[in-house]
Amino acid sequence: MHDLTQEDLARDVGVTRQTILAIEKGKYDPSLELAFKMARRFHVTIEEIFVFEDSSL
Amino acid sequence: MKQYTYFLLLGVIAVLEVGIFFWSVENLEPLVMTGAVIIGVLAAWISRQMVDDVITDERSHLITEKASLRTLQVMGITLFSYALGGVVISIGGETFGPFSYQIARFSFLLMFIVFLMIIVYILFISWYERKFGAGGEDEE
Repeated sequence: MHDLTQEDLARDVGVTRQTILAIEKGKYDPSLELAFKMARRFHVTIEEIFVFEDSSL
Repeated sequence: MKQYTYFLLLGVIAVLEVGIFFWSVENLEPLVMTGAVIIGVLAAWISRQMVDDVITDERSHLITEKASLRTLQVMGITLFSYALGGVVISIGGETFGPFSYQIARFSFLLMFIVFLMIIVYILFISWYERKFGAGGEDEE
């Protein structure tokens, strides 16, 4: 949709490509700051990118 | 500078350090090695500043923190067990014969280092609790 590579996104939000990959795979939860940066990068809200799943349930 | 170039430079610095280390041992010149280590660290730091790519981020920091804590726990327990064993065995007397005194001394020193490590750990916990606002009074 945005025609963006993991590397481009990583550079734009100031993290490594491995971090983007880990977030995509669900192995790493980003900090609030990074989540906001990513949302801002795509001009959407955080809820449109991330879905909260309560792991205690 | 690219990340790849940076790692290549680090490798070159490491190889040079090993070479200088061997030379200084062969020629009994400890000052050369000391100087080489300082220059090596500085060179690595300057190269790190010249890297354009992102090398460390919040995920790598988290990994470092978790790995450091686990290392501290594993090494703390291992060293303490070794020190305790050394003290107990050396107090027994005959086991190590004439070396018992040295072993006891070394074990006590090791135990002291482990306790020092725990104290430093507690001090850092206290420091970070203050830094991240855990201290102080609650708002009524």
